[in-house]
Amino acid sequence: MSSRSKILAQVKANQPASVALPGLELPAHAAQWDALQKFVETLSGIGGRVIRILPGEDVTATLLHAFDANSNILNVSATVQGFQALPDAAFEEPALLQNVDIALMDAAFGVAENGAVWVTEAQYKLRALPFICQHLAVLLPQQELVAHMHNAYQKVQAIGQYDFGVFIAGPSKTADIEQSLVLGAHGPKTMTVFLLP
Amino acid sequence: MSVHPNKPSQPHAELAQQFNKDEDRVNWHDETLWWIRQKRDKAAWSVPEWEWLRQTASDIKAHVLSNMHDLLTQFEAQALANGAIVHWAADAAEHNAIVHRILQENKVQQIVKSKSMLTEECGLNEYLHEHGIDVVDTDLGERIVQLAGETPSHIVLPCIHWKKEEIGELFHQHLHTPKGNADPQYLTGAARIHLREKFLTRKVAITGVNFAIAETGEVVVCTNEGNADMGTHLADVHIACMGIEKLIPQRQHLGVFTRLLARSATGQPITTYTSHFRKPAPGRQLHIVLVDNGRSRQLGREAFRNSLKCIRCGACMNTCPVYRRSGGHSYKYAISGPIGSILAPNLDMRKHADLPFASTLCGSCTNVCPVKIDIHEQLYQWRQELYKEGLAPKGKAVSMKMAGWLLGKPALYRFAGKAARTVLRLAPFMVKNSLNPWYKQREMPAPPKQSFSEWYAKNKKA
Ligand code: SF4
Repeated sequence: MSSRSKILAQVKANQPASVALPGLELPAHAAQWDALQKFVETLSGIGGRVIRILPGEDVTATLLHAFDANSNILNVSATVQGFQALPDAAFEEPALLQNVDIALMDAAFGVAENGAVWVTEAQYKLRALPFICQHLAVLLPQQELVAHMHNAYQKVQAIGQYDFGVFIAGPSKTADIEQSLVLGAHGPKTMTVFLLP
Repeated sequence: MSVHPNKPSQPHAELAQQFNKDEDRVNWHDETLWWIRQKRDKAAWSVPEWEWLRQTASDIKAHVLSNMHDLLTQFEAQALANGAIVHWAADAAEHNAIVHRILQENKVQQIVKSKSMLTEECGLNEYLHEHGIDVVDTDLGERIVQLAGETPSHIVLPCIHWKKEEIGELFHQHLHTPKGNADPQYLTGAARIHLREKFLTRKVAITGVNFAIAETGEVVVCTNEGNADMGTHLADVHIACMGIEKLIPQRQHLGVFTRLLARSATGQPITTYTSHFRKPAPGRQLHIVLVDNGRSRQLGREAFRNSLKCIRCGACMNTCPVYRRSGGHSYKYAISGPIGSILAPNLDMRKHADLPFASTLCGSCTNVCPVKIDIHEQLYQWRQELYKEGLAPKGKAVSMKMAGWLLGKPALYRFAGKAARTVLRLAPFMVKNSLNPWYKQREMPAPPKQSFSEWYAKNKKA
């Protein structure tokens, strides 16, 4: 008998009588937040940076102003034009992106309770990009904020299927050395979210 | 079966005693973990619906355990439809052989691996090493213990027992950082450079799995460092290794688990990355290895079934007074602390017979567990089992039998508490004797003159 049939047979023999799935309606006393305020507060609290763009403001100028003038910016966002495009060769060899200073991309939405943003491969084109860059810059319309992860997954479902998708909450980090927090473990050293009006 | 040849085989109590010789170090270990426990409390209290989340998570997992057969086949069908390759491993040896075969098929000798307690449980690193494969653990804490020739002492915080000066010295030897530099920022930077080179050049990446969704066939991996993503997205082949209990029915259930996991583990609102791997990237491979290794047996043990709900957050370790003062390595098993002490005897009752006794049964683990596993009750159940099998360790058997008898009788328990307080004041030598192993190497705290219930009874009238 294959291991597959062996495991499945033993699981079937040993699993108890079926227990129904619980409902997922939040109780009345669940937390409620002002999504915008909570998002900014939380993301800042976990080492991210939030820059609010005002109506009529020149996004490109603000972007340039936010980063070191010498850094290269690779742009896969549909919201702003210009900067460097993703080189075709990177699809074959994503390691080519190792010298990208700043990757700029659109996020579908953000989550107030934890400061995370949802991005999918379809949106930013190449899986490795938000991890291999030295700094991550994300554009997020401020009306695209949900309160918590329950709403977040409803939104994920509504947006549609993905091949790869990820919630990113702040810069990569570690506290493995005596619990001292260090930003910039293996992924980006900083994360900036530009909140669009 | 010895899956961890590099781990010592002395009893927990002896190893704990060794760990306790350096009192400053034990205090430091204890306080660090307690600090993390407090961060967890703060995070939990910031969510008013916390108890609802715990109950819901526990109920979802109860559904999973009771429908595991169908959910497994559903998951497999979805994963195959997504283009993943699914493997089934009955035990650790088969898991290791499957991984090795994938490496051989891809003609690869060097790989990167992000944190996976399952591969630790299976002894994958040792196995691959014996077969000439170079495995680089990429989680910083795991890399530290790997360079030192050790295994993780905690499932979330692998090198919680290492001091920064020691890490500085280790990095000086292996990564040629300047001698005497023990600055965490600097050392993390050195590790980042060292590991980037590995990420950029390795063609196969192994990861663990935090959640696998039956409905969609995707696997979800949570890290803070970004090492799982750096490894997998830069490699041609991703091997995701998971225990069969990692299943959840639908994607929407992640809403519950992602709110609990990081808050329980470290007090963060969520891990930096929660990565959802549904399909392999074009031209690349995604292998998913489903591992039983005793889980289907545990499923049939009614008293211990709930231990399979575990989401490996580590909260029960951080809060455990025994773990904090004995260190993860004293458990001699990949998963240490209270939950490890339930899981290990399922694999080998004789070898791990001492672990269910490495507890005060205070119940703190049960109180913090995000999926509401009745951890301390299961430890107590294991003691009964081991007692029946004649496997209970000698000295402890007597006092623990007494403890079990007492815990079943609340009125007597209160009385005994009163008696114990008297004994502590009048004859502390009676408590600090060899029948009471947890008092080794430490003075008992001064007993309160009144218990809380006595105090309350007296003061509520006033
Ligand atoms: S038993 Fe509960 S508290 Fe312990 S690691 Fe598992 S989920 Fe966390």
